[in-house]
This record gives sequence, structure tokens and C-alpha cells, in this order.
Amino acid sequence: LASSILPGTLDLLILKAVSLGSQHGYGILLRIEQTSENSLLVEQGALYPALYRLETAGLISSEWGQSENNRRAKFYSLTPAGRKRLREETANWKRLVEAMAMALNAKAVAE
Amino acid sequence: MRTLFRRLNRRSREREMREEMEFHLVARIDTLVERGMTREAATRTARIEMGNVGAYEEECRAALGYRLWDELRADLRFGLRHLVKQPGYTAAAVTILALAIGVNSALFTVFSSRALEPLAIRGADRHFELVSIDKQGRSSSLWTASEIEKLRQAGGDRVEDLYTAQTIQVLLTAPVQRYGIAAFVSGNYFQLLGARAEAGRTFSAAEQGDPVAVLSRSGARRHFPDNPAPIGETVRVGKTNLTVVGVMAPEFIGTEAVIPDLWIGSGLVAAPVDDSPKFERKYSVSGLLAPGASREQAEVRLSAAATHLPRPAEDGVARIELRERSTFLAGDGELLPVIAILFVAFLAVLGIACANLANLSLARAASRAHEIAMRLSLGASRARVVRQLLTESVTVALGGAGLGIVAGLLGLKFLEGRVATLAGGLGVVMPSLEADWRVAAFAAALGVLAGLAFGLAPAIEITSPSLRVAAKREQVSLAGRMRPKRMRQLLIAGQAGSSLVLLLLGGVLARHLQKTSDISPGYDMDRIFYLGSGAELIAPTTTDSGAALLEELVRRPEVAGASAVQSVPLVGRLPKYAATADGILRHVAYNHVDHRFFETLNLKLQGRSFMPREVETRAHVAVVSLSAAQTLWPGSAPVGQTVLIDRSTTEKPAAPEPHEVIGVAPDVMWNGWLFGQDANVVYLPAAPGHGVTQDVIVRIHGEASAAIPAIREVCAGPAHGAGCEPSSLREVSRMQRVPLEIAAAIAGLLGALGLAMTAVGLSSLIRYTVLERRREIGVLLVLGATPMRVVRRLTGEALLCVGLGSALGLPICLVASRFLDASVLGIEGFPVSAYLLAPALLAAITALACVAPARRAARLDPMASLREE
Repeated sequence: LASSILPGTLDLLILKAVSLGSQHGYGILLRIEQTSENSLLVEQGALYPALYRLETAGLISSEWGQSENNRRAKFYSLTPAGRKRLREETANWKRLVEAMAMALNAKAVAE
Repeated sequence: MRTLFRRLNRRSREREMREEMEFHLVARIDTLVERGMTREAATRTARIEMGNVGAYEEECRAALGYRLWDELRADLRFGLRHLVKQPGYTAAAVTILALAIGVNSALFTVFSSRALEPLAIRGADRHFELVSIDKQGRSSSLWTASEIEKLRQAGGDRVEDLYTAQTIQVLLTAPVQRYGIAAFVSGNYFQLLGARAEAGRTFSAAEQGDPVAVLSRSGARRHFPDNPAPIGETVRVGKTNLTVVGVMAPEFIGTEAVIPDLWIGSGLVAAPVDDSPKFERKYSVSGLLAPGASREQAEVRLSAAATHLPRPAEDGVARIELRERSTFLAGDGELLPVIAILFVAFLAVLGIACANLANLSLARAASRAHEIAMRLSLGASRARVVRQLLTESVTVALGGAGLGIVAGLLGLKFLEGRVATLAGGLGVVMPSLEADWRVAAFAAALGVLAGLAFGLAPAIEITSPSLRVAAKREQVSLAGRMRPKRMRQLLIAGQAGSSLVLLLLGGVLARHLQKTSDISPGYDMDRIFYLGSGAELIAPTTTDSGAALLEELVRRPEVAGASAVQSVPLVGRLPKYAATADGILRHVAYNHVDHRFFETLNLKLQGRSFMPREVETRAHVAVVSLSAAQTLWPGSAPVGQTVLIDRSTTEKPAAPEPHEVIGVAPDVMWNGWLFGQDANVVYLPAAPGHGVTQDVIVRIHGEASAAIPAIREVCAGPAHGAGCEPSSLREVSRMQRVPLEIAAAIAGLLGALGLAMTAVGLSSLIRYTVLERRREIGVLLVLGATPMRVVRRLTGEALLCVGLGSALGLPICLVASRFLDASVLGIEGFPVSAYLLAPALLAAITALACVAPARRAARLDPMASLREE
């Protein structure tokens, strides 16, 4: 079942997708879909403000190039600052997931 | 930098953004077709998946930092459109701000060009004034030549060098006779300050005592208008002919706020008349720190040397202070409080303007409440609307600032022209006042501040939530939303009071000026001339030449009388001695005069005047003024009485000497307009040219145009030789009244400005009140009140405000008047005309300001205003 993305996690997903290699916007979207096995869906236009935000923040950089079907496309790649941020955010995310899992799995002790 | 670049690149960024999203869409359609959809279905699906492209583009722009910029532009456009739609308000606001910011930027222009603009010399930031502080903490900046030499050596590698400079007014008698400003400087002056001659050369340390002069560009233009490079020409100062060796480049104007006409070696400064062997000439000293050296280091070095200078114990130097002099006014900070007070007063005018405009904007809020409530309901955030309103007020304020700079400059240039004309007569040329980037920045900053100041409160007020509720009910009533009205009334009262004070002060001064020109000083100001001569420094008059000059003068048919005096009427202030009569000690003003004095002023004496023999021997006789006679011997005849006069000073202690009163002179005006009058004067005899009597006054027969050349001829002749420039006491008095005239003009201007603002403020207050109380007015009208009564009632309230302000302002005026009354002869403390006119003017303007809005109130449809609730 497809679920919409938690607010604030799109940036992390993009960073992850870009870290796998330089890619254009549509490619990033496909990567997110593939790697999450279609379980995470984004309204596709929302990708672009996120990309522009990340670029303005210096976490990714862009370059115009040729796409696989020979069209002009803008390719994004991770900057060193982006790589560092990805590491931090991933660690944070894991901690959060563990904490949430623990909290949600807790049994009623008192009863 | 990067954002700027992006902004410039905006168009291509927009294109790229669209291209990128287009690519995405096409690629998605391809993918969907590959997965087996028809192209049509794929296109539709892709578009749905993409979402609202316009909204995302907008978000992208925000991410790129374009949005703030876009919004600002939109706000600006909207604000301008709004302002154009309300030309009345816009014109009023811009005018008020232009006036308020204009006076401030004019003041700042003066400040900037005198206290911020560095001196046009080499190493201006290292320039200092050498000041000694003695053990009592008193400061002095005078040093003897040998002391300066010792200090120069002591400075070592901390001080680049020291120089001396003394700027004074002199009378040039050739090529044309006129006053000029001369700077007597040490020989190293030019080289040290990096001053370059445009034509010819400067002089060196070896020529410090040679009769050579270097002209400033403006000096050359004044004294040799037909010769751009008068090298080798002669200028005559006093009795000395100086050869012009150079003309300085126009950018070099020295280190004082007056531009010297010429620079002369300090070796030419003559010793003073009182030439005792102990006496050594002293110079004021300035210098440059060595590059990289700190002021403290140099002070330590110089202090160590200065404390060992051979000086009498009471003159001993405790330490040296190097006062920074990188600009005309930098340094001791004595002027700082004055400057601060001026700025506070001028900024207060801007404060009043802002308060007024805030009032005006609040009144306007009524017409905008609906529009703003609508925008808020449509989802604009409150901050966004406040920002838009502030953009509008700042736009107005910046417009005012722009106009203000122009107005300020025009006013300043006018004033500068007036002052330059007056100063030019004394040979004083001042560096011109230039508006620079600092002035523009200052005015712009004031504009932004003023815009925020008068825009913020109304903006917050009219966007407040309760208004939105009111708007939803389709009502624009502002009832119950306003801050306490009393605050605004007090504001208006304060304004009315302060403008009344300023107006009255201006009125009192103006009235006084008018009166003083009618007052008879006791002598004929048009026929008594004062022979100004600035030549003493170069060649002192000796006793012989002084007497010879007077003899020569009285022989002339154009001259009715000539006399040597210590103090000239209206010039400076009479010194005081302790005088004891009948055992009671009083301080009386005194003046040393020769035997022709009373006849020269044309005064009729009771008793007799001094004999020539008495002035030669400085006999112990005295003539007293009528007032002095009444003070010293009330009720008894003064002639034949004896007065003990104590002439001792701190340097020369002496026993009091008895003087016999031989005559009584009528009271005449002595001190200048600013010093206050003292009619108690004792005249003591002294011969012409004697140490104390250095000045000469002349009474003429017939026309001044014939007498002046004759007097000049005598001064230039063999008897004197130093030249002189006769000016009538009328002219002297006119010059002295200039500060009063300027004060009256400034007070009047600020008062008028305050009054105009008060009128605007009142008008808006009434409009506001009307909106606020339309129900009450409606009730009044329904209950049968005539429109006239409504108008009267509203106007009455405004007059009450103004009345309150006047009640506050009048006591201040009375105190100020009393102060003036005590300080200057003949000033009428309570000129009835001024005290009646100013409040009447205020009341008239109040009434005028109120009538229009009050009448609008009276025309309200009572039913409509009652139905509103």
C-alpha cells in the first residue's frame, strides 16, 4: 500500500537518491520509487521546490547535460556538505525509527 | 554577491525552471507509454501526478530567494498607486517630512563637512594639537620657541614632527586695502602637511623670518583678481612688504575652519608692546604622529620631556595631551554638548512630524479598513499586510527625504551665501559646505526610520483582529478600537505649546532687533568710526606714532574729533575694577581714554574733561558716568569726591589708588549687543599709544564717502604707516546683531514648521474624532442640535487642546523673555505685540484646521450614523 511521505522527509530521500550518483529530477523520482519499491509516493511537482531549496543550501549542485533519450536535462549531484548532512540525517532518522518502534511496541505493563 | 548574480540571471533561471519541469513531464509520459498506456491517458496521468505546477514554481522562486523581492516590488507598485490616488495626503506627508528631514540634513551637512570630513592634509588621521595640562588641570596650548625645540627632539620616533600655526585677521594695505586672514606658520609647515604650491613655491624653515608670503588660491583670487599667478608681487601687511613666492593648489586650505588668504613665516610675528625682557612669544603647536605610533606612546614621551621644561613652578606642565585633530572640529569635545543639543532639537521636529503623520494615518485608516479587512479575510497574513503598509509609509518617507535633501541644501546654500557675504567683509573665507554621501545616507536613514516610526502603529492598529470582525459585519465603524484619545490630545497640546514657544521667541527677538535699531546709544553711530587695524602682530604702534597719528587725523577737515581709547564702544566688553567710594566696595566697568575722548563722542560733561597733561602723567583723576555717580554717591554731588580704584591683577598686585572725580558724563552704550549693558563706567586718563590705549575712534564731518578715504590716507601716511580700515559703529553694531538675527530666523522657522504641523495634526484629530463619535453626533443632531452647534463643539475641543498647550508654553516664554530682558539693553521683555500676535495666530490656524472636518461632521446623516450599530 502506497503511503504519502512524512513532512520533512522528502529532503532526506532526495539526498539519498542523489548520493547514488548524479541524476536529473525525473530520475531522482524514479529512484525513490524503485528503492522504496513504490511504497513511498510524492506529488511529483513537489520534488522541484525541494531540489531548489537543497541547492540554495549548498547540499547539492546542478549541471545541465544530456539525458539517456538525448534531451537536455539538469543533473544533480551531492556536494561534500550534502554528503555530511545525509550521514547526520540518516543517523537521526534511524534513532527516531527505533524510538518510535519501541514506543509503539510497548505492552501495557501495569495491567 | 551570489544572490545578486542570481537576481540578474533571473530570466534564464525562470526558463531553466520551466524547461526542467517540461522535461520531467515528457519523460514521465514516455515511461507511462512504455508501461502500456495510450499517449493520451499517459499525458493526463502525468499531469495529475505532477500536481499544481504554478504553485510549485512559486515555491521554487521562494527557494531561490525571488519571492521577497517580488513581494517588495508588488507592495511598492501597490503603495505608489495608492498614494497617487490620494494626492492630498501624499503631498501633505511628503511636504511635512521634506521640511523635517530637510532641516536635519542641513544640520548634518554642516556637521559632516566640519566634523567628519578629514582635513585636506597629508596624514590627517595622525594630526594632533599639543596641549599642556598643569597641576590644577588647566589646559593651555601655548609654547615658547625653545620649548618647542626640546619637545621636537623628545618626540623621537613616535612623533613625525611638530609645527606652529596661528591664524589671525590682518589688514592688508597692498595691493588693495582690505581685511584678510593670515596664518603665521613655522617653516616646516608646508613640507610636513604635504602642501603643494600650484604656482611658484612654498617657503622653508630657513626662510621662516623672511618677508615672503604664500597665497591660498582663494587669497590670490581676492587680492590679485587679474593675475592667476602673482609670483613676485607685493602684499603689504601692517608696515611690512611681503613678496609673494607661491600660490597653493586649491585643495590646500589649511587646518582651520577659515581659509587663510596667505601664509607668513612665524618669524615675522612681532613682539607685543609690553616688551618686558622676561616675556617670550608663545606659539600654538600641532603636529603629526609618526606612522604606526599610538597617541598614548607619544603622550608618554612628550610628557616626560615637558615636565622638565624650565618654567616657573605655577606654570609647570603636569602632562601632555595630544588632541586628535583629523577634522576641522575634532578634538577637545567642548562643542559636543552644543552639537548634541542642536541635533536633539532638530530631531524633535522630525519626531513631531512623525507623531503627526501617525495621527494622520490613523485617521486615514477609516477609509482603508474595509480594503484591509478584505485582504485579511482572503487569507493574507497579518505580517504580510503590515509589511505592505510599512512599504507604503517608507516610500512616502523616502520621497520626503529626497525632497528634504534638496530643500535642506537650498536653504543651507542661501544661509551660507548670507554668512559668506557678512564674513567676506571681515576678510573671512570659509570652506564651502558640501553635501556628500554621508548626508545622503543620513537623510535616507532618517527617511526609513521616520517611515517605520509613523507607519508601524497605524499598521498594527488597522490590521488588528477585532477590526476584521467588524469588517465581516460589513461595518467600517472604528468605534471602540482607538487608543485613549487623551494621548493624542496631549500630543497636540505639546506641539501647540512648543510651536508657541518657538514662535514667541522668534517674535521677541525680531521685535528686539527692530527696537535696537531705533535705540539711541548716546552717540552718533553713523559718524563715529573705529579704525580697525590688525597690524599689531607684525608691527606694534609705538607711543610716538600713536600720538602722531591722532594729531594728523584731527588736522584733517573731514575729521571732527579723534581719540585713543582702551575699549571702543560696542566692540567687546569693558573690564571691571574694584572701586571703593564712601567705604563701600563696588565693581565698576572702566575705560582708559585720552583728553579728546568726550569731545570725539560729542558728550556734554558736568565738570570738566581730562587735560593733556593729565593723560601724559596718568594723573589720579576720573570722569564717571551718570549712573556710576548715582551708584557710588547716591544723593550727593559727585564732582570733587574721591574714589579708590584697585587696579591690581594677579600678576601685578598694587595698592588701591585714590582718584578725584573731575566730571560726570552722560550714560552711553558700551558693550556689544550680546554682553549686556552696564552704564556704571569710570573713565581714567591715558595718553595715545600708551600700552593700554591701542584703539582709535574718529568722529567725522560730512559724508562718510569723503571721510573714509581721508582717514585711510592718514593711516597709510608717514605718521602710522600700517594702514587702517575705518568702520562706523553702525556697521559694528550690525555685525554684532547677526547671531541674534540668525537665532530669530531659526526660532521663527522652526516655530512656523511646528505650527504647520500642528495644524495638520489638529485637522486629522478632528476628522478622527468625528469618525469615532459619529453616533454621538448623530444623537445630537437627532435631538435637534443645529449643525452650527456641532461645529462649535468640535472646534471648541480643539481650541481646548491648543489652549492647554499655550498654558504650558507661555510660562517658558516668560522665563526666556526675562532672561533676554536681563541680558541686553533695551530689550522689551514682554513685547505686547508678540505676545498677542503669536497666540492669536495659533488660535486662528487651529480654527481654520478644524472647520472643514467639523463641518463634514455636521453634515452627517444622523439616521445613517445611528443605524450603524
